[in-house]
Amino acid sequence: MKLHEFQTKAIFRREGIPLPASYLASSPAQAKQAASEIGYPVILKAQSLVSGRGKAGGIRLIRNDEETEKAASDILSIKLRGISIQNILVEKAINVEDELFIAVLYDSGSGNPCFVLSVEGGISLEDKLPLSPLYSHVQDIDPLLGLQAFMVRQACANLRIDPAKWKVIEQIALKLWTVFDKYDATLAEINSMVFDKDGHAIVLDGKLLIDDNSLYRQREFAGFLDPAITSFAQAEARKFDHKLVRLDGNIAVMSNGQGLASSTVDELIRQGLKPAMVLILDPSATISSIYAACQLIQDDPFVEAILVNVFSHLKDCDFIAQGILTANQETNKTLPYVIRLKGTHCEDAKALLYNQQNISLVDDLQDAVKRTKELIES
Amino acid sequence: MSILIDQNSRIIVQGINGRAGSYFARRMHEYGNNVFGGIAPSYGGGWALEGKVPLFDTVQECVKNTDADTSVIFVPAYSAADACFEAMDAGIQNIICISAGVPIKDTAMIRSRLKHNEAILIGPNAPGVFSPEKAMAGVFPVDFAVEGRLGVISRAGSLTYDVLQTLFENGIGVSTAVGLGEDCMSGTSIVECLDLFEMDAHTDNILIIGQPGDIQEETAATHILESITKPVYAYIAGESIDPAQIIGHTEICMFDPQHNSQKKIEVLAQSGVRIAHRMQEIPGILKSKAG
Repeated sequence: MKLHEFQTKAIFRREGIPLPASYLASSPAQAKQAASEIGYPVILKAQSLVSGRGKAGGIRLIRNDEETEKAASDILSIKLRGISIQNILVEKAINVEDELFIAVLYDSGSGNPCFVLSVEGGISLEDKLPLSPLYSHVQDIDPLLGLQAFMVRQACANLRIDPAKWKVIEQIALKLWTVFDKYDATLAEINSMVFDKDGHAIVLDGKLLIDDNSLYRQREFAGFLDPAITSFAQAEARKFDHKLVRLDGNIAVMSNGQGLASSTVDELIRQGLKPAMVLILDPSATISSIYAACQLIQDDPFVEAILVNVFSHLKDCDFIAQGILTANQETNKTLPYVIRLKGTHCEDAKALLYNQQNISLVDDLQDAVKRTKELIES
Repeated sequence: MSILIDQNSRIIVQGINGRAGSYFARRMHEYGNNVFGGIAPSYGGGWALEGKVPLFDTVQECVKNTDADTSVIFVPAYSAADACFEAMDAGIQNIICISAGVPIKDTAMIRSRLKHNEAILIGPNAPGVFSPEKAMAGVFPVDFAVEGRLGVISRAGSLTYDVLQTLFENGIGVSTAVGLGEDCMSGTSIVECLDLFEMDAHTDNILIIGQPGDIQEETAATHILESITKPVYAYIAGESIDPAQIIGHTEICMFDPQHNSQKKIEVLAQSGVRIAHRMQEIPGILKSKAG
């Protein structure tokens, strides 16, 4: 899961990374109050998990009270991909000298974390890949060893950074590693770190992605879910360890694997159909968690048909059939289900689903998609 | 022959008392008759599968008594790393982690430790390894597969079983099927598996089953060009998915915009890999070997 800038900064501050003074505001009046406490000039920053806030006018440098309220209300009216801005971070504006970029993330090639130090600040890591070795240093990290101070000094030396700054860069980089390691991050980014005119280091912006699989031991982040991005349905699906993604079509796909779900979506799109959501079942799903999954799908106003494609050979097919059957009673059997169940013990499961007026049982994916198409078009 | 496991493999099961553990321990034993022990802390001295499989408190004790070389792990996600470290410490060579939901940090730590122990990790969140008519170590359905000369490497879960059934129905035999796992980071990569199949005298062709997310197929494309002489075929699910349609942020790999299936198919095709665009096309491309 991705954290907001203000949430990221709360974690950074807790771990001792130097940041400008800031307050969170959700109205123009609050923004003005915050700005006068911090002292001008300040920066107003729209808090959004969707990228592109800079281009949309969501970051503004403000010098006095008159400008603050107007700018804050402008920012709060911005919509990024349909999602409104709820909060503004009001932050002390810093006079920037040199910019540095520091990140720790997983390298899917080596499978290890890697440390990135770059003298090109200002943009996020995704936008600047591949990194130029002239301006950036990438260091593979053994996760059992962690980032070591010498690795940071090595990076500074390679990038010909003024040795007077090494100590402070080293301290901040090691704190960023602590954040990455302690909070199960998949990406911890400082973008950027600057030296103000007095030579003090300060971090202007940061980004944190937290591993969803770690939430059982990173409990504080459960409260960080943003309802604008994580729909109620997604949040509910998480509770049952299912994974749910929303799209803009009208067919729900329920499957027990990302690969099988991907091939199902392929076939739907080839037939001119569009998925409304994809739900990947928890591998250890029970009858009640499958029932909950069906309810989530049935409650979605955009779903006109449900395509279930499951290949399993534990007792799962039985569970799935029973979960669907119970959930199906609740809609008065109005929403069509097209179900493909495969696997060693699926015959009993299928027997449970025979003779349900709104349930079509099919043997292969092509038939499933064909049947779904007939139902949608009729 | 086959890779990773065969009729001489000596398999043990960590987490044999759980729902999945006990179910699949039985399936594995029925298939290969080679499950030699189970680990269930504080149940040591007891038996599983109606007295056919002895239970031990620790992996070390189990290995001492059984000479096991392969462990299949069914413990909950929060103790998966601990179980893998225990297996490594006891000298197990093939560690097959079926557990789903393991944090990336744990997988990275296990991977790092593997190098010191010369062990192999398949998984986590993986189907495991299946050498038809020899042995099964994992959660593969065993009814539809015959021994043959096609090596299968899969990053998918349940889709792998669907493909194996399709191969079976078309009379195509398999030397070994390896399910690497659906997580964004897995213990063994496609590249490492390709090398194992390249060296296996009983594998003639290799099929890769891929899906969106991760950079593995892209890395494999380069490796195939440089080091693999056997013909490679691929089916990459999800080529119609447009990650731009996603509303909001998702960590499901199948919607990873940077590693989408179109890109994977493109680079694999450039390396001479024959591509099936749908599952049913797989038998066809395998049979038309010319060129």
